[in-house]
Amino acid sequence: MLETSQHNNYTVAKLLIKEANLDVADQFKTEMLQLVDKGNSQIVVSFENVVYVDSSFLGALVSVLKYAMSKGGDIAVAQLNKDISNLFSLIRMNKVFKVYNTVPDVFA
Amino acid sequence: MFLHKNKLSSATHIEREFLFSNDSKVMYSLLNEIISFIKIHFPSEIYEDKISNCKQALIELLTNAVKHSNTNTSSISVIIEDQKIELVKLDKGRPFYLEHYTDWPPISWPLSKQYIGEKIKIYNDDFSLLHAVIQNENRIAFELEEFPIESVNLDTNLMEHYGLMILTKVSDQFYYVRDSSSNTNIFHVTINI
Repeated sequence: MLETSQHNNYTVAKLLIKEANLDVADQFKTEMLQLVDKGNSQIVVSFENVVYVDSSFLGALVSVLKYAMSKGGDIAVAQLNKDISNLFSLIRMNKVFKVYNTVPDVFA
Repeated sequence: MFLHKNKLSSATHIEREFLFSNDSKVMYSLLNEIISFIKIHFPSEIYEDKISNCKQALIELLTNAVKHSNTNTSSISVIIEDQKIELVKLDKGRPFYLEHYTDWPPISWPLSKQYIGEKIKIYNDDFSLLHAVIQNENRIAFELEEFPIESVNLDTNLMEHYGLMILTKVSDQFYYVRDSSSNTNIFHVTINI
């Protein structure tokens, strides 16, 4: 469900799904943990194709962040639609994850 | 003339029920159907943020049905009144429970009268504390306390369960009722407009 590409100092993991929900949360977590284990510790997750996010997926995202941080890395999110962006602000996920409007030049 | 008009508008009450097969595959189409219905009554862009909150509340109510209700039907009623939108999820499945809950007070429905007014701690981390207040033997209301925190590091305690927290945060009132006589579970979200 992820399409990955290398940028300057980080990896972009683009979600290829529309609905980021309970059906795909476990698989997302597994694929992300594998990416981190392969040495991709700085990852920007692109939500360009995603129309909504549910709490299960959010839980998986937080779980991945904790794992990445334990390996000295970090997870950011990019290209959230307006509803998802509202949700991130409302529950302060924007303090947990760096949020980029577009895929950034440098992960900083 | 104006008085008459006001009187009419203060009596606004529109209600529609949507059935859900508790199948995540149809969640998105049902979500769009319900949001389209709400938008008929709140078409203006000034309601955009409120509609966004309704959307997220619906996503969580539907997800909750798929994950926890242990039955294959639920219904979502949308009730529109002058200044508020109510989203009510009903099912006849498993009553509200907390996994691995061993804390006090004990949860079994109907709740014992002696616990009315007590708070059940549901989740907490360095960002917030979610608890349910026992309002009567059949009803708990969810309340969120938030702590000031601006960033996270390796030592930050972060929970991974956000469903009830999101529902509490997007709504102006959020409670659960267990109707034991009809074996019905009711999650009730109110969003003020």
